[in-house]
Amino acid sequence: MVDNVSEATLRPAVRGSGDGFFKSLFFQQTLFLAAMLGAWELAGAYAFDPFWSSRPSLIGERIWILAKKGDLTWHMSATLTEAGLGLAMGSVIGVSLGLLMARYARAAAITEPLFMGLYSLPRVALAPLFILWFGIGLPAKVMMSFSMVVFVFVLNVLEGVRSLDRDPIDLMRTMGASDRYIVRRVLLPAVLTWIMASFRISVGLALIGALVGELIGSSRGLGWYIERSAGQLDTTGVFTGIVVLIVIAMVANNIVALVSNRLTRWRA
Amino acid sequence: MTGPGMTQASPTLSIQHVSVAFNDAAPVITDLSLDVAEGEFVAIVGPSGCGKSTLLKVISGLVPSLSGEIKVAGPAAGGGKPKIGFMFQRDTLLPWATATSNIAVGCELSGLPKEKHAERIAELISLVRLKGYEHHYPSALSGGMRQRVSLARLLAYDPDIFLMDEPFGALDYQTKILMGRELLRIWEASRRSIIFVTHDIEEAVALADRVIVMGAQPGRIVASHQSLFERPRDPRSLRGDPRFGALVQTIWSELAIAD
Repeated sequence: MVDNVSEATLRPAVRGSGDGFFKSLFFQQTLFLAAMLGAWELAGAYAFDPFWSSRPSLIGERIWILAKKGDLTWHMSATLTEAGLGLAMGSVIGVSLGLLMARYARAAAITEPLFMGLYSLPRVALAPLFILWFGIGLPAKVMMSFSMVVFVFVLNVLEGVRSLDRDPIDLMRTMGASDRYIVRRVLLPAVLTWIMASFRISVGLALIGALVGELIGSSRGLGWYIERSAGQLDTTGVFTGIVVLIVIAMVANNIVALVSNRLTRWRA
Repeated sequence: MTGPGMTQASPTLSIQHVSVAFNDAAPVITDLSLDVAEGEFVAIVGPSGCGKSTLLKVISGLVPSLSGEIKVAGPAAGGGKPKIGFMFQRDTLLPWATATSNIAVGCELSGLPKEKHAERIAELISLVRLKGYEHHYPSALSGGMRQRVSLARLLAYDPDIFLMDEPFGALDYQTKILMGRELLRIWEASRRSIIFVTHDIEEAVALADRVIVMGAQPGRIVASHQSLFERPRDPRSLRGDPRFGALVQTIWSELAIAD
């Protein structure tokens, strides 16, 4: 057959690799990062007072010390638990709410203005209330994280169902497919891509929620460590907290991107 | 209205005095009657807006009719609801499912026992000549290959009647001719009833046993032509036949009058 077979077989394989290691993206990215850290280090040594800007070497040393004492895991585990639980709750409740709103159009129309209002509200405004209700322990931060991410899931899932392609559903209906079959074969896979997109947005938001909660009132966590260091004019401490947060956010984003790419391989 | 070699037994599809209208608007189809015999290949041509696609949706139950009666005969063996297979101009494949998994939809909805699915899918893959593309997603297939997967899914469902709404209309000319020939090859092996809607008169004449010409506003049948050509046939060589050109011309003039 001469049915445009070539179109499928000749798709070029897209790879980021260059001709050699020195031309590889990874090497150039590392080089850039090293140059920035080097400039910072030198500026801290010769240009500014490291009191204001600290220095990468001091931050590295601090991370090492904190890690050896166990403080690093103590604070990191707190922040990660808060953000993780908030994200888990937000995704489960958000997806369920989104599906319910898609199923019951009238109820969705009635509640949507309130949802949009809450979605537009800067959630930081809720932090004092959560502290008041749940104290300065774990629950207040989980709620903070949860409030940051839940609407992302609700609105994305709702949009995912609304943008469903009707034709395959019509086709399956003529073939006598049950509702359950259509949910399993069409609705859930279609919504899954929207859920994965929500996760990509929400990882950072969940961390923000946890951090805001910790900054306002807490006794442990990276937010607390940053806040306390600032109170003691310890810039190295502040930067240490920030650097650890950056690393956590990058690792989390990469994990989500990896899972998401695996689940949506069909997008080719 | 039966073709040569067709039995006079009860038709696979019987449409009696069907009218269709949407929301009190002018009727899309008025008082249309049509019988399709078992194993008959009927093509419907007509201008856009004549209700030919709507007719297929009414037969499949996707759109309700205002009045009239539609009967689809069930499987010859008796018992069970008649199975209606629909194929759209768009491929309507599931983008997240591989060719195999898309074809499996047909098996799953056909009621075929699960342990026979793999074997049936393998058969169909080779029937529609997609060997080597079993695990490709639709996004990695060409338009013609996607319609092959759609066709295989339809065959997997094993319908009593095929409703095809311009199935090759979105393909380029060459691929369209090839797909027509493929369809005949596959159909000649199984001989199920087909209603094939198209706006391409040549395609209709080349493929069908009978060509129905519809007119618009309101949608109605203006003419019906029995095919002059023997089976099995090669739609490509037909195009050189003077009778082919004559029939195409006749239908052209009927469409012009109907307009």
